[in-house]
This record gives sequence, C-alpha cells and structure tokens, in this order.
Amino acid sequence: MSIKTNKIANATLSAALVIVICLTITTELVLKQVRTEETQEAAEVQDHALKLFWKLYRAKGTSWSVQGRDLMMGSYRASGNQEVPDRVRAITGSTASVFLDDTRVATNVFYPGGRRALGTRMPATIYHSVVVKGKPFRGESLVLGEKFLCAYEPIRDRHGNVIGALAVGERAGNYLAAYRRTALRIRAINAVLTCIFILCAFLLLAERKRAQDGTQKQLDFLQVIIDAIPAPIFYKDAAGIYLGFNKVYEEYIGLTREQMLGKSVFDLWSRDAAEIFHTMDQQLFTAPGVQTYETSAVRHSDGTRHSVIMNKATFHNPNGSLGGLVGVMLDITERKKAEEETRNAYRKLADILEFLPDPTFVVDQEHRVIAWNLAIEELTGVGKEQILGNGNYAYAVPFYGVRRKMLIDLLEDPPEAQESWYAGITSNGKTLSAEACLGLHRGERYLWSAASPLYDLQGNLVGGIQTVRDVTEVRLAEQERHRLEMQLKHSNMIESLLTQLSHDLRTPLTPLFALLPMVRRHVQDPKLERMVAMCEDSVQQIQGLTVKALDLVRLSGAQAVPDLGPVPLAGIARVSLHGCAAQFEQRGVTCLNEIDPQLAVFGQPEQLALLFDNLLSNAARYAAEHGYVRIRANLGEETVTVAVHDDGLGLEPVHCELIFREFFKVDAARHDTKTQGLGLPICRTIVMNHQGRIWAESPGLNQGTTIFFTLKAAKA
Amino acid sequence: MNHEGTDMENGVMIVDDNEHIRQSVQMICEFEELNLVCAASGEECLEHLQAGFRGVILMDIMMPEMDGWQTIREIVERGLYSGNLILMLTGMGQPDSRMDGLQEYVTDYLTKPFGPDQLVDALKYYLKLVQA
Amino acid sequence: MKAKNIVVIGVSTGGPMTLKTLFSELPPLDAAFLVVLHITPEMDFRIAQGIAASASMPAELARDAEFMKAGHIYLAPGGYHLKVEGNHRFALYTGPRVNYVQPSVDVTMFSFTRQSAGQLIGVILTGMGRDGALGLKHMKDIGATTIAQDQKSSVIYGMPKAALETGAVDYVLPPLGIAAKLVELLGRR
Repeated sequence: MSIKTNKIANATLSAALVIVICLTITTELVLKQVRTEETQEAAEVQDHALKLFWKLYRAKGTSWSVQGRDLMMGSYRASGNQEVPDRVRAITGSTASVFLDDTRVATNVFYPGGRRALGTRMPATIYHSVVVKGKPFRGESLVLGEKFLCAYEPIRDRHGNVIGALAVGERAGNYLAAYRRTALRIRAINAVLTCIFILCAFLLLAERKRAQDGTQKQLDFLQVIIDAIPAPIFYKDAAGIYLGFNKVYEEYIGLTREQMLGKSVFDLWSRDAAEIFHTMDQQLFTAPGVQTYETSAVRHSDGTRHSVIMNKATFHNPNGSLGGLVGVMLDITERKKAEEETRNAYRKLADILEFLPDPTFVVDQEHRVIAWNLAIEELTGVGKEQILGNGNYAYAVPFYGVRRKMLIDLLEDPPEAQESWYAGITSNGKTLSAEACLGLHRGERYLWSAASPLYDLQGNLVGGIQTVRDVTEVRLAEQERHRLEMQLKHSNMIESLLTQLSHDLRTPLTPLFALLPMVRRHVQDPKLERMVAMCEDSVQQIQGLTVKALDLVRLSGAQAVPDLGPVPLAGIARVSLHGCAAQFEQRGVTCLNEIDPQLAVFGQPEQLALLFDNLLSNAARYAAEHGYVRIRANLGEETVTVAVHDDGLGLEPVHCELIFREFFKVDAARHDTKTQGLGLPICRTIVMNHQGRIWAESPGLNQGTTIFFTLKAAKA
Repeated sequence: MNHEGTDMENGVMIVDDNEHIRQSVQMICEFEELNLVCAASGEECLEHLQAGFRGVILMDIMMPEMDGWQTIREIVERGLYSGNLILMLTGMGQPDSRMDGLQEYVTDYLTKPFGPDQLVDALKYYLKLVQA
Repeated sequence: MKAKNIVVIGVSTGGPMTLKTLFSELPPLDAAFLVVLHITPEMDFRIAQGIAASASMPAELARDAEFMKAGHIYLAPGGYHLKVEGNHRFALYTGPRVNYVQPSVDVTMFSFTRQSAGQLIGVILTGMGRDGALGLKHMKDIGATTIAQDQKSSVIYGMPKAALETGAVDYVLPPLGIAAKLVELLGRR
C-alpha cells in the first residue's frame, strides 16, 4: 500500500516541479524583455539629455579649452558653474556632470547632505574608455555609491584632444522601477507558488516517510514477537511462496532468511514433507480457515526426524481476497518420546508386577481391576481374563465369595470404618495392612495384605495397589511354636512344681521318719507294731517316690543336658555296686563287673552313677534268688554298648518297651512297695541326655533280662 | 524353753521354724536323755547363745526372716561360736554358694528326712566332741 | 624316722563323721596321714581327739616344724595354713584365706613335691566348695594316686565333684571303699 502512495506522491511532485520551472522561465523571459525595453527607453532619454547638455554649452562658446585650472567653453567658465547642469536637470530630470579630465567640476548631483558632488572622480574604467580613448560610454555606473544608468561623451579642445567629459545619468531605480515592481510581483508569485509547492512536496515526503517508518516499526515489532515464539512460524502468500519466518523456523530448516524468502515448500523441505505440506496448503486455500494436522515427516536441520503438529490459518488482503496463510509448527517429538517412555515404563512395571512373587492387583480410580498378576492368579485360581476391567468389588469374590470391600477400598475411610471390615488393621503412612484367614480354592489360608493408594505426579489419586501374602506356613509355624512354647512352659511349671513338691514333702516327712521308728521300738502290742511297720513302709515309699521323681525331673529339665567328659566306666559301676551291696547280699545275688577298667566313655559322672544305681538295684531286685547279675561293655567303633544282665524274672516281649515308661510296673512288681516304677525312665532319660540308646531284651518270662545302652567311647 | 544351767551346757539346740520338726527332735532327745533347747527362729537361737548355751546346734537353713546362713554369720560376728558345733538341717544336700566362708563353722549336714538313729548317732558323736 | 608314704586328706562339711568312718576301718598302716579339715581353732583339738578315739593309729594336731611320722594321723590346726616342707616337715603360717578357708587343702597339697621313694596319695572327701580340686590335680601331676568320695556317700558333693572335674581323680569311692583302696595301696610293699 505504501508503494502506491509513493508512486502517486512522486508523480504529483514531478508535475508540480515542471510547472514551477516553466512558469519561472516564462516570467523571467517576459521580465527580461520588459527590462530591455525599459533600458532602451532610458538610453534614449539620456541621449536626449546629453544632446541638450551639449547644445546648452555650445550656446556659450565655440570650443573647449583649459585655462589654468578651469575648463572653459569659449570664454565661459564651465567649471564650477552649475548653470548648465541645473538646466539639464530642470529640462530632462537627468543628472548631468562636467568632468575636467577625471574630476567632476560641475554637476547637479548632490551628496545626501545637499552639497554638490564636486571634485569626485569618474570610475577608472569609464575614464579609460572615455578620456583616454575618446570613446563615448553607455552603461551603468556607480555614482556616489548609487547605481545610475549613465552616458559619457568626451570633451575635446580645438585640437581634438580630450580634456574632459560630459555625463548624464539616470538613477537605475528610476528608469527600472516599473519593471522592478512588475518583476517583483511576478517573482513573488513565483516564489509563493514555489514555496507552496515545496511545502506540499515536503509535507508529502515527510508524510510518506512517516508512514514508511510506522509500517516498518510495526513490521519489526511483529517480527520480534514471532521470533520470540519458540515454535517455528512461517507465512506465505496464496501462491505458496514464503513471505516470512521466525528465528526458530530458520533454525529448524537450517537456512537463512535470505535463502528462504520467496521459495516454496519444495525448495525448503524434502520431497515427502513438501508433498504433504503442499497438499494441505491447497486444501486450506480451497476451504479457508484454520487447519491442524500432525505429521512425522519433518526432518530437522540436525538430521533428526521430528513429529510436529501443524497449525495453519489463512489471512486475507484488505480487499478481501485470499492473502496467504500463517503456520505454526508444534514440535511434539519430546512429548512423543516421553509418551513412548511412559508406555515402556508402564510395560516394564506391568512385567515386574506380573512376576512379583506376592499376589498383587491394581485398581484404577473407579476401582476397576487394571492389573492382576500371576501370583494372584495362582492364589485365587482366577485368571486375568476373568477379572481385568471389572469393577464393583469383583476382586473380592475370589477371596470372600461375595462382592465386598477389601483393604484397597478402605484407604480413604476413617479408622473405625476400617476396623469394621478388618480387625487389627495397621496403617503405616498411607499403607494399610491387615490379616485374615480365608477359605480359598487351596483350602484355608492365612493371608496378610497391604494396600496403598496410587498417585500421579500431580498428587491426584489414580487408583490403588494391594498385595496379598500367603502367610499360612508362617502362621502355622507360629502356632506350632506357640504350642511348643506353651508345652515347654507347662513342663517347666511341672518341673518346678515337682521340685518344690519334693522339697516340701521332706519337711512333713521328717517327723514321720524320725518318730515312726521310735514308736515301733516302744510299742508292746505286736498288732500295733505291725501297723506302725506298715506306716513306716509307706513313708519310705513316699520318700523313695519323692527322690526318684526329683531325679527324673532334674534329669529331664532344660539344664539336664550335661557337659560330657571322659569317665572311666568300670569305676562308676564299681561305686554303684558298693551302694547296692546290701541289696545283693540280701538276696544272695552275685554281681560280676566285667567292664574293662581301661574303658572310658564320654559322660557326666553323676548321671552315669545314677544310671548304674538304678540298673543295678533293678537287677538286684529281679535277679533270681542266689542268682547273678553281670555287667559287660563292648567297645565298638565309636560307641560302647553296655549290657546289664540278670538271670531272673524276665520280660514278656510286649513289655520290653513299656518298662521305660514312667510308673509302669510288670505284674510281678506291681505290689512291690520298694519300687516306684521310675528307675528305668530315669535310666532312659540319662542315656538320652548322653545321646545314646537304651533297650531291653528278654527271651521270655523267667528267662532273665538284659538292659542294653550305648554311650560314646572316649579314648582310653 | 528351759534356761536351767544343766541344759545350757553341753546341750542340743534345734533351730527350725517348723514346730513338728522341733517336737520330733525334742521327743527323740527325751528318749535319749539329751538336753534340748528349741528355737523357732534365728533370733531365738542368738538369744539362747547369749544366755549361755553351749553345745550342738541343729540349724534349719530355710527359715523366714533370718535364714540359717545369716544366723551363723551373726553367731560368728557376735563371738558366740566358741564351744559350739553347728549341723545344718536341709532338704537337699546340694552345694550352696551362700556358705562360702562359713565352711569352718558348719561341721556337718543332716538331710531331711532323717531317721532317729541317724540323728542320735550324729548328736552323740558331736556332743562328745564338744564336751571333750 | 621319715615317713615314706604320705596320705593327704582334704575334707570339709560332714568331715568328722566321714573321717570317723574312714579311720575306724583302717588298720595301722605304714604311712603318715595328714588331714586338712576346714575347722576353727576352737574345735580343732576336739576333732583330733574324736579321730583318735575311733582310729587305730594315734591322731594329733600338726605342730609347726614337726616331722611327719609313719603310722600317725595329723590334723591341720584351725586358723593356720599348713605347708609340708620337703614332704616331711610341717610349717604353719597365717595368711589370706584361700578358697574362703583357712586351713586350705590347696595350700597343703601344693606344698608337696615329687618324691622318688614311697607313695603319695591324695584324697578329697565330702565338703562344700572347690577347695582341694587344684591341689589334688597337683598331687596327681607329681605322681600321687588320687581318690575322691562318691556323690551318694558325700554329705555335700562339692569338693569331690570339683576334684573329679579336673580329670585328675583315679578312684571315685565311698569311705569304706577308700579305706579298702588305701589298705590295698599301702599294704603292697
């Protein structure tokens, strides 16, 4: 638009200039003519005045001469005599001067003060022409600094020598006044016209410049704006020729503005991209408006392929015709990459989730199942295909058989509400955990669960995850451990109770022990004596039980497993034999200790002594009257097997194991008040404390019994 | 309690909080014609000693308030040991670290329950030692 | 008349009765018997008398600088530690209690040295504590025969047990068995 303005302005300006020049030339020519005519007219007037001047002086004399310092016409002294010049002036109005040589000697020219300009000299040029050369002069000359149109003619003496000059003159102002007035007017008009014209031209130019500056500024500003936009922007005309871009676009293409301006898509883009752009541009031009599309055909100047969203819009010329289009490219490569990464990450997570050993499922915001891993498939027997995408508490069915809330549904609930669904819920931060015993397809299982809400990066709740752990084995082990602990506690209690009982029994037993023999000694009545004897026996029985029970408890207790050291076996047996000597003597039983005196075992001497005490007193009791008891020991590779044999009562095969039970007595011994049925259990406990074995062998009733036990051999 | 001079020298003192045991020992001693002084506690034992008792002391270990060991320490610290022998009466013949340093003052142990002959033999033997 | 054979007996609680049983079973033997019983100075003389009353050999309190004689029973007096110099001469001295006791069995037993002729026999009988255990081990190390009383016959099975635990005990026997063993050992000439 400004270009048009410029053209119009230029034409107008030129035309005006021509007019002004023509006008000036014409008027100047006319003025020159006028001036020439005026000058000619003035010259004629001067000629006339000069003729008059001459005529007046010829009336005074015949010839010019110089007498002394005076100029004489005949006898008429011309010098200093103003009569003639004044006469000329009076007749013609011209100035008239007489020069002697070059000096004015008579004149009607006055100084501004009123004094006659006598004595002044003619200009040198004129003097040279008129006086020296004797030629008349016509022309302008300065008189008293004033411009005059003058006419000089030489005064010659009778010899023809030039002795002075006559001059007349007219003030230039006078004869050119009319011309000047006219010229002044015309020139003034011209000047005014020129000025107006120049002003107009100037204004026009100024206006144009201003318009141009404004537009430029506006354009620059727009360029800055689009340069500041980080997305590549371009615009092109309706023919698809690029009109402009922003910096990013230049970088994108990798060409400079100059290289791109005026090019089409085919010049800037690769063939495939250009085809797409061109097609789309054509579509847009066909249906003007806004167009958006995505393409991955764009190749960045750095060589990488990019994905972009193209936004294009048409613009129109002022006259309404289609002007072109503006386009913005949104580079979504990063976004696409991020999306891809997210997808990959999600896939990875899904894989991890899938192979987590803990049964796990994930729900979205609407509590629809979006992940159901392998482990939970196994736990519940419900496959992914049956449950994925299902909401409305579908995930509870495999666990509870009904749709109900699970831990994952209680994340937002207050603790009381949580407790109403699961007893003993614990929360750690946002994570809830609880345990339940449920009947699953694999039977009753103890399941421990933890549920956590899931948030996106902005902290919005997007779902939840629940992990289930089958802790059945742990719980069962715990229950078993608890049971054992209770058992241990129970047996500890029984142990301490029995220990206490044994001790406490001694106190009431003491008076019985101390007094019954005294009573028996002092009663006279045999019946009474028998009664007392019976009491004594019972007290002995109680005492025996107390001691044995205490032994058994002590040996079975936690502190009973002894520190084992080398013990000479024969010596231990010998001590026991000494102890039982009375019992053996009583029944005439011979005891043979056939243990090799060098043989040593790993054992605890007191316990081994107690073992032999019990075995030997048993043997002494059950050996045949006047029979024998034989103790033997065989050294094996690592163990010593000891056999205590008697030739007495013997055992039925079924009793061979039973005799090691507490309080078991074979029939023959059932009513024996001297035995408590704790001897062999004590033996078994001691042998077990030594990590050995104990067993009984008997060919049958009345064929003798052998008790065997093993101990670890120690180097002799 | 008998504070006559004959009982106070070369007698037997039973120190036990259990009355039946004290009476049992007393009855046996009566039969054997041994002088017996009964003390139901460590404090009473100390009183008898301060009153001039000299002889064999049967000392129960497990007593409320002052047990047998404490009583022996008191006896030694108060200089009342001289001329006496102490036999401990106990339910168990097990080592007892509370006895450390008292070995010289505890001559023997009598394990409950004990028979009359066992008691009488010990008493007679030790009385003879004390009297010598 | 220096004793060739020496029997050192360490004993504490239950000692008097046990010693009575032991010595009443022993005939006069060719050995000096040295008994270290945890005892107070007030009672030592009476205990010695008690032993003498039941033994077939004379029994007396050991006196400082006295030489041991065979066929005699010596009892370490209360209130002193007893050492035997050169395996035959008593030396009494006071000093800090050892194993909470004075006289200490360990002190006496450790004072013995290996001898070329004659027998050394160490015996630990009933008693509370651990006194004599290390001493008996020392005796064993210098060539002595060692005997400990068995649990059943011990009034207090403390010292014999501690001795047994050192692994230095040759025989574990009740008092009668010990008497028999001593006769057996010392009768063999």
